[in-house]
Amino acid sequence: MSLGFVRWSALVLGLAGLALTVLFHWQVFFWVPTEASMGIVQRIFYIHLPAAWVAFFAFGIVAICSAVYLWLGIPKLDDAARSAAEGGMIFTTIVLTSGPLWAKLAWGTWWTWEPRLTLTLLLWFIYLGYFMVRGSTDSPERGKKFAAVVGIVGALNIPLIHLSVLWFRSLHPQPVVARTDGPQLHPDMLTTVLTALGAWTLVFLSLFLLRYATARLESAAERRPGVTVPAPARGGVS
Amino acid sequence: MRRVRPFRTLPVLAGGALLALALVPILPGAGELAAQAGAPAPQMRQFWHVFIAYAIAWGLVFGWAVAIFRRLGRLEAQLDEGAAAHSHPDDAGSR
Repeated sequence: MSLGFVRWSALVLGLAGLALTVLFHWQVFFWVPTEASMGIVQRIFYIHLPAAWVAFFAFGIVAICSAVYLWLGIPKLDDAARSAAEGGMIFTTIVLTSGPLWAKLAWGTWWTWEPRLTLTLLLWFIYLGYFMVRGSTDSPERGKKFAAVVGIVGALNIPLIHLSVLWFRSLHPQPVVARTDGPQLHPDMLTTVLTALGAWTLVFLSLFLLRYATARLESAAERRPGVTVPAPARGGVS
Repeated sequence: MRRVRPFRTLPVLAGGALLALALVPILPGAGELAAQAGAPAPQMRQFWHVFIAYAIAWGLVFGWAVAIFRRLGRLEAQLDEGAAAHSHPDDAGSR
């Protein structure tokens, strides 16, 4: 897959994501009915839930690419894992900031150490460690392998986060979409959250592909004589 | 000296984003939210929480996008300069 194809794909996905973004913002602010018990603040749900799913998707990419990188040693897979990890961190941060903004009005507190919130915060710290471990050794190759291990182990947290509200006594609302008996949501609300999920996914894929193209160019530049690769701002994150 | 070609995806996406956001208020139903602007204080607080949540979310996404594009632009400039120096070592003043 050439870098030109990657960049054009990123542009197409980005424009499609922007179009869906316009649609889901219109749905959120002007179309979807207001939830009866929580009121207007419930609309945070339409970025909170899709951001969580996209974060899990991103860390899933990290885990798969990291596992195959450890097995086959192909540098492109490490580039893909690092790019996906950045996106995963961004979307996990969105989850951890939008959640308390809802929780303050719903629960009367910004934060509580209940299972799902704690495990999500742990996920954020694990992938922060992914970037720190990359730069922690003198050998870049060893750093990449250590990071790959962290990326795989961190993804094990994801099913725990999803199942925590079912296994433990939890303040966090039970799943309303990903349920074995089907979504328990008003049809308009379900449409809106699925539109938001599509928008976030396309935006993430677009930026992931661009970040991957950047990482591939960095790798190519390192192999070219007389070229100095600009140093990242911190720990390998763009 | 070879001219560095700017990376054009950022202006296209940024222009698309601005156009997209500008379209939202004029779409059908825009008046309904405006009518709720005179809501009592507890509802206004809910509005603030919603708007701040969306602003943080999009700020993070756009921040990541800007960081990627800036890094890609610097890298392309470095690669172009490196390619020019490699093909014309005399021009690069490497003596």
